Amino acid sequence: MKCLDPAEMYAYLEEELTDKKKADVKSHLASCRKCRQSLKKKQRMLEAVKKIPRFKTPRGFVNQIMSKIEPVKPSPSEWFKAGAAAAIFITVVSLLFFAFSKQGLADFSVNSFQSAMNLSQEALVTSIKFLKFFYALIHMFFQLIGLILKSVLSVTPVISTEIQIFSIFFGILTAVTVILSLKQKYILGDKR
Amino acid sequence: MIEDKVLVKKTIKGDDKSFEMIVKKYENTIINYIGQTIRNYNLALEFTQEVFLKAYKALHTFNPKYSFKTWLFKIASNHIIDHWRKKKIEYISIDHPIKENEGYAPPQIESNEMIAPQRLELRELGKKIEQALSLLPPRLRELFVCRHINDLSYQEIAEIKNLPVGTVKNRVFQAKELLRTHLEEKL
Repeated sequence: MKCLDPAEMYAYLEEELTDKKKADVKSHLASCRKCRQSLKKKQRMLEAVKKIPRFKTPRGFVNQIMSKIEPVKPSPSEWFKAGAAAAIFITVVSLLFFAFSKQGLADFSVNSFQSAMNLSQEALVTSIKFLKFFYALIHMFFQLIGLILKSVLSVTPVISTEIQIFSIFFGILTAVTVILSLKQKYILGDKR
Repeated sequence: MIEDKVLVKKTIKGDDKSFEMIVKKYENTIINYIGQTIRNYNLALEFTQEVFLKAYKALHTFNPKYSFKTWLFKIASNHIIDHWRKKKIEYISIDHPIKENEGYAPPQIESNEMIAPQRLELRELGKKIEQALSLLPPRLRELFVCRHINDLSYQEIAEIKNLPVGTVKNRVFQAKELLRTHLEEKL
């Protein structure tokens, strides 16, 4: 085997050679003083590199950084995602509402929904008087909105106005919750 | 120890303590990489801080399929390149043949430093190597630091620098040979 080239020597020292090549190099080194000396120099240099004084951060460096970090700002795409999610949600709720209000398919759901409402009403009625008063106010508010909706949309719904309004109200409430949670999660980075 | 990817995920969710753990884990690795490459402690300290702040802001762009360490080094490397650009220090392209000291004004080394005893202790030799490192062209020095001081693999360096592994190996080899030439009489 001819003498080793410098690249081979470094590869040998850094254990980058295949087993076969490594064996060849070893066997050559055993018989070639010149290569052994040259390898020794390279090895010495690489070992000395490890002794170079390290750069280190001063004490309190981490705190310095932590005091400078700011909440992650929203990127336009995140706003877009949050808006799109809310828009889709409201659209789906609205579509379901109108579909259920015009078709017979809605009857079963409406009855169940009404039963649930009745239970809720009873629970409310038997609860604190304040809640009764509050409910009455909401009821009046629903009636009013219902009248406005009826006149504007000319819809003759199968289900009662209260339920319709409650659905819309619930839909909007959920959409707002979704937006707020998305904002918390992706936009403000849930900064504490 | 908690995995980097988990810490990143928690940080994105708003857990700043996780980011603190990331900084603690990598602060000395990054300052050593930047410092050994640009050979200036104060600047290295400033850059390291900027690298972590930059990383924090860009955490949501980190792809957990890849290594976080490599990603962080990439930010640091880009910071160094910006610094060289601002200082108008030329950096070499992949195909450009490298000449000794190209694009870099080496610091003056006192003449008595050049006359070294025959056999230096490793630590002493380390000091000499530190000086000789300053004589390397910046781009070669950066790759050498990554490989032999920060102990990154050739593959990792290739990812950080967006270079083929073969090119990285070749450049690191050139750096070692230049370094050896500078130190020849001291080894």
